[in-house]
Amino acid sequence: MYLFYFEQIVTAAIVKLGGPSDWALPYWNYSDGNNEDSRRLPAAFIAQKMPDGSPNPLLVQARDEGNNGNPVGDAADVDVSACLGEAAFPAASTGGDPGFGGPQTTFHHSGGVTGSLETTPHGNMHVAVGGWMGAFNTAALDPIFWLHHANIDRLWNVWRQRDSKHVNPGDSQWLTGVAFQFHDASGNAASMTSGQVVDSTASPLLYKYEDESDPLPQPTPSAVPRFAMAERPIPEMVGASSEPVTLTGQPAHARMVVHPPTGPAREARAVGAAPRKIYLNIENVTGSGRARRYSVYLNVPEGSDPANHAELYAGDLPMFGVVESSRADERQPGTGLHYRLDVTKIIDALESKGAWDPQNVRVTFAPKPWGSAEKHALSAADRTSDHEIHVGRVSLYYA
Amino acid sequence: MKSWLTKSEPSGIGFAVCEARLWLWRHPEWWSLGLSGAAWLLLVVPAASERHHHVEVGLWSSWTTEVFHWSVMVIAMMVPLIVDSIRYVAARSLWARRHRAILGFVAGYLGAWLGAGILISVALSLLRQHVSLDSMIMGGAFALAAVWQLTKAKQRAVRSCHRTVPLAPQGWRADRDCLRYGWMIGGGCLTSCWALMAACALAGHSLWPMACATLIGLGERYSVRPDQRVLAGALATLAGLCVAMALFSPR
Repeated sequence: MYLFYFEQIVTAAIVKLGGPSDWALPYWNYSDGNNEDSRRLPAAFIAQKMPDGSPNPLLVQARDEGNNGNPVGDAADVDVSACLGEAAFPAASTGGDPGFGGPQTTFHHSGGVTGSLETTPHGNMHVAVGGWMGAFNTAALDPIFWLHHANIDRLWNVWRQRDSKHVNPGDSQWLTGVAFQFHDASGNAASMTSGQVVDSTASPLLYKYEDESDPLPQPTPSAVPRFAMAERPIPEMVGASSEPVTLTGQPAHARMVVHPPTGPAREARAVGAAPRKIYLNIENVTGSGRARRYSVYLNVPEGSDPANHAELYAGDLPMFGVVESSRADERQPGTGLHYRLDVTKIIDALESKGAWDPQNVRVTFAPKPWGSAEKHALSAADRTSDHEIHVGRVSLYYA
Repeated sequence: MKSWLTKSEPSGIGFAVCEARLWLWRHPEWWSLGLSGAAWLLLVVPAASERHHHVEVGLWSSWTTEVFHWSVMVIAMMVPLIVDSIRYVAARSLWARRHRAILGFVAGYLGAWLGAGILISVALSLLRQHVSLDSMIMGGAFALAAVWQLTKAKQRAVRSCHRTVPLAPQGWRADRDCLRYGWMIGGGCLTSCWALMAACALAGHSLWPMACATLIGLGERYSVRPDQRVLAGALATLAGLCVAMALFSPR
């Protein structure tokens, strides 16, 4: 809804300057598989000068990546297969799937896991572009923020359209419980509720995206929801690490022992209720300074480069908001970020090869490179060392 | 329609038992809420209340009774406020030991409150030896709680009640972590709710102020966007009622 008001305000300025009244906010589709330049920042955002020779206000020097015309991030940063593959909008209870949109929270956001869309590509691209985009409080200062979020909204539509069971929450508290406050193009105070924007084709939004096609193959029968929403399985923890892990920009590992399930997961298997799903939880991720992104792998052999084991790649930790969510204040408890990664296919494959040893499960955190060419905006401390990130625990859940 | 785990069709005792078991699985906090309900029952029993108001046989007896009533009050009022944390502890534990984890957490939580309760009880017992704690003083205590409600320190404290920490999965480390986590959340709740609970203790653990205070606490914890001014207003109303009682009740 903030995009709606932003678009209104920009359109009013454009019209005032003699531009078209039907101007619309563009979206940056960095996941477009048919466009090899999709991860490059649009040309208008990296040009040094405007056509009249004046400085380009769309160029932000503080960006870590993209200003030199190179692609931003890597393919994993813009991979939408995990988020579009989510069966449900809200996350399952603790430990289970992260949902397309994340958990239902109350005011405190305690233990709140990031939803699948929010993690990748949303968080990844924030941190990959970096600079102002890399932090909660400054992200919207970079004009590319608005195109990034227009694309996130578009992906929401893609998710809804790819399966008739992909529906928004119907909870009245979510739809109308909170009125968000804005200012419109005239500078007047305005408010809006979620219920007014859940259908982007209806008034007041009336959006029509150029491309809402499904970039993934249609869901296979096993990928469709395995249960009615009211009957989601109870996730059961089967293993967790005993010690925290500190990430310092080098590969790091956590170990855990996985126990046979003894509760609902065991019984679900006994009655053949549904194919099991397995989620790797990365809990209480905290840090006090700017952090890089990490890729997570499961059971990479000792001494092996994780990059050579795409089959063991579980997902990315974008770390977007890690500083803010680690800060205890009157708005939040400061318990950090929480991620849930679907590792069902990895473990199934390891089991089928006889390579799954529940007594020795190893989680590897591999740092992703920072944009090297444009680190000029970082402080000296940022350039020379990584800020430490602490991972409280890793755990495995059957659901 | 069969649920995701039931073997039988939706009829018969087997189905009902299975559904009941599923409900208990989904709500591991059931026994702690039962404990809270039992504490409320104990408070409702008139004999308990009457006995409390007639304890004047000595300081030792007075403060131990005060501690007992404080503990019952804390279990009754505070346990419903930590349901999210109890669920968290259960969900972050191995299935076989999740109720043990809850027990450790609740013990740590109540331990923090008990420590404070001993101090408050001694103070109250000493006060009662010398001063009559009438409704006017109760009103002042609830007014203090209303002011505290509007402070940033209170907001920080109530957020800290929702902290989560990593828990070791098994062994003595798991027990230690649950106990420590309970103590930590108890400390946060104590900082958040000290004024409210002290006012209830000053009110002689009377039922109606406790019931009102519990509703205010529930409203704060479980609203999507609690309005602190409304909550402070409710506490101020409570203070006003106490003052009115002091002014207009027959002596």
